[in-house]
Amino acid sequence: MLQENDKILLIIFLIMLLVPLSMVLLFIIFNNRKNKLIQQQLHAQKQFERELAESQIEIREETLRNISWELHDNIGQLLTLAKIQLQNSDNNPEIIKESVGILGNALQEVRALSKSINSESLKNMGLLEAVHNEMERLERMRFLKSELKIKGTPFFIPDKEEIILFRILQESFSNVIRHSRATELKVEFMYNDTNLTIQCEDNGIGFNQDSDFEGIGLKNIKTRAKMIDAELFVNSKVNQGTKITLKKTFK
Amino acid sequence: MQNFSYIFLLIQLLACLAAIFKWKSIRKTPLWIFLPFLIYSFLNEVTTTALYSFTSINFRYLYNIYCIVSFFVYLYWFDRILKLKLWKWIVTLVFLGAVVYDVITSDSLKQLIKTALLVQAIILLIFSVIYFVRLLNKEEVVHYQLIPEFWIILGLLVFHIAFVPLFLLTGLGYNIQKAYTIAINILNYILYSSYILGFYVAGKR
Repeated sequence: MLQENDKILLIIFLIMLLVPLSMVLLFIIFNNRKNKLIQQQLHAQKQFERELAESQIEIREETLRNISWELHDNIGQLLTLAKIQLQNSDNNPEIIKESVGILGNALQEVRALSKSINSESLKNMGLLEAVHNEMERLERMRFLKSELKIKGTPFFIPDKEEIILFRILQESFSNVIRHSRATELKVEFMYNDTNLTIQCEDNGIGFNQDSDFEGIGLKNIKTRAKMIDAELFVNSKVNQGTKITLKKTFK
Repeated sequence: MQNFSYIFLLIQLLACLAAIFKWKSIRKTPLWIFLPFLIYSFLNEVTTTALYSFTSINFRYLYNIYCIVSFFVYLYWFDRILKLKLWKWIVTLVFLGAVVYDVITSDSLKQLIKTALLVQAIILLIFSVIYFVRLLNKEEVVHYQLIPEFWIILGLLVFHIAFVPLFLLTGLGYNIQKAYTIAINILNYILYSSYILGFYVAGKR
């Protein structure tokens, strides 16, 4: 049998055993949490890279679709017109001069188009110029009137985030053209300290946010905004146009 | 037994030196409070060890003052890192209540303020657990080993996990002074080593 004092010493020993045990337990808990978080971060990183690659592919596909449209509806029409005029000119200097003018226009369109074919264009131009070109194209194709405003001093935006932002805007423009029946598109970039706010507003038919919000391509925009930690606000009312606001803080 | 005290003094001195060497890294953080506190702790320990070794003067009141000072140092520090808001006033009231109770019920000049010590230990234990739970829910936890607060609070948690039951055991009237002193010394080695680690990590941050 243990003496009273031995019992107490055993209790003290057991109490002191709590020290290494609590330390080991704490490190196990912290290491598990750390590993779990690292795995989550890796997963998020992979998802971001996947989304980024998808955005790049979509930008390219959209660009090719636009080129096809422009070649067929714009440059093709100009060249056809010039060809017909020249065929029927009978060496009439007036008609030839007019045809040369049409060919000059076609050449200008080809030059403008070649800018957007360059796959590295977004990297080289930057977000503002790429958006400007996109809006210019919409005007050129006579889809609608567009206006681009820039407030504040533009700052550096990392390539990856620039691609996602551009894809969000490109998708918004595409939605405007396909669904809104708008005649005007206004885009505003507001740079403030490290914050960027982008507003994209049209005067189209709008939609009922409660019923259609997820259904018309905005889901993609929402997912991508979330991916780059940007806040997205969509305001739309039937027959009162749509306004998309993106807010992003850069560290 | 004296050797245990000397080793403890040496570790305390090393913790002071670590705080001095890493002062640049800690002076603009809540950790700054530990430099004056550790110097005070060391001087207090040297004085009490000297009084114990060479005189028969009762020095318990020095430990009692240390207990009160340390409570407010830890409260300040935890308030800075946990943002205690109203809780700091509630906790202060509870602690001061315990001190007043000890002063009324015992001779605080000759005896330790045991209730206050126990209340302080339980409060620090709770704060430590709260800190770890919050840290586990932050992304910072990925680099937990590079957080100075983690190491210091680890020391505090481990110290108080064993200190509270040991302290309660001494109140039962058994003659365990020797084992108790050894255990407390070991706990102090761990606590002050965690300070040293914390300051080392603060220098790396």
